Amino acid sequence: MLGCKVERGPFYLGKGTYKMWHDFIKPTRKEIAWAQIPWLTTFYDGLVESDRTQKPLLLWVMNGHPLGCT
Amino acid sequence: MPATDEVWRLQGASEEDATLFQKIANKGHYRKAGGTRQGIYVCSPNGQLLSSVNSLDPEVVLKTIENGLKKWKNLSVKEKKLPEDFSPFTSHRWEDSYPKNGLILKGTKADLLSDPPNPSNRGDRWNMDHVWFSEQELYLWVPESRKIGTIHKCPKIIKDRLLRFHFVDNVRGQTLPFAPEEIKTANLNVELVAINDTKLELKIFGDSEAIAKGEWKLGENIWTPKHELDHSISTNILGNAIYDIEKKNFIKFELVVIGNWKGKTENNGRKFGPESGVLGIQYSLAEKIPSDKIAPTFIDLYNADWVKHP
Repeated sequence: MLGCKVERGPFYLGKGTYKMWHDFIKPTRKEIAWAQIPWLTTFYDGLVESDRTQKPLLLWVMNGHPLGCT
Repeated sequence: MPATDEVWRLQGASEEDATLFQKIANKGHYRKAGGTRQGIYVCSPNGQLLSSVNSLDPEVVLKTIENGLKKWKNLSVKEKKLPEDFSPFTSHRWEDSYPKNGLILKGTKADLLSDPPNPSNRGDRWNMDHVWFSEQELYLWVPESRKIGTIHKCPKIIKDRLLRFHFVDNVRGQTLPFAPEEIKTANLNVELVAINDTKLELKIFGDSEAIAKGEWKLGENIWTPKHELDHSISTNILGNAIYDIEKKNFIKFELVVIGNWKGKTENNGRKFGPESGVLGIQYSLAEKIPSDKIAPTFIDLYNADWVKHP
């Protein structure tokens, strides 16, 4: 008996394609390299640590938190 | 000392850290108050601006940092200290509502430009996302029945959380959430696949459609657009999770979403076309580290009475 061919469109999400899409959607090591910097998560924390360590503060602020994007 | 923050509160609030930021930004690359102050600043805890820029070019950013470092060396001891009367008081941050015993997901979003995907053609932008469910909402994901094959339909509050605020097209830039009535299809199911000791193995699946056409339906707030809406997204959802009955918590939670989007919003980076496309979203459990506790983008409009508002 011949098997039925299952028609499915492009960008199909199923058991057989789940890992392929999952792995592709995750950022590459290069794309996520900036996240390896030990960013403090508020300006306030940055001020306090800058004061404590006597190092200049590098502040990155965006519309939407840079560690959460927009 | 590297630090990040959301600029909206800093550029508008009157608390001490915010006014110190405004003092710095007033001398920076966007001197004019009223517009956005986003960018990169090198400064001292005393509020001395050393250098600043808003650029996506790493070479420009590097030069800005180097310039700032040079100026730091010339500051006096006092200029390198916090102001003497600096107050630590912050009346409100959205992170104050972080549901520490809840379900916290972190995820990423990317354009899907081909099937199968081509790793060398990933598009030039991608985005991140955080999803918050309270402890009580976490339990709404779990089937009550212990019969294998049981399919549990997630309640509206769970579906709305994802479909209104997270399954949106912000791969390339900031977009808008959907109103409840803009959710046209909402299927989100959890199937009990297996029970291993105290652990429930679950399969998550569903599909959705959200259409925003015409006027904005979510009132006057920071998101209120200047334009009529004409955008939509339909999704397919697939995932798996493991719920520990004893710990009353998920020890694994994975979701993949494929979305067909149409149209654009003011700032979501679709201005130069195409008019439609496919995006992918993946979520997993967040860790209990500060960078995974960042508030969700649309937290101020969340369908959650446990979120503390200013």
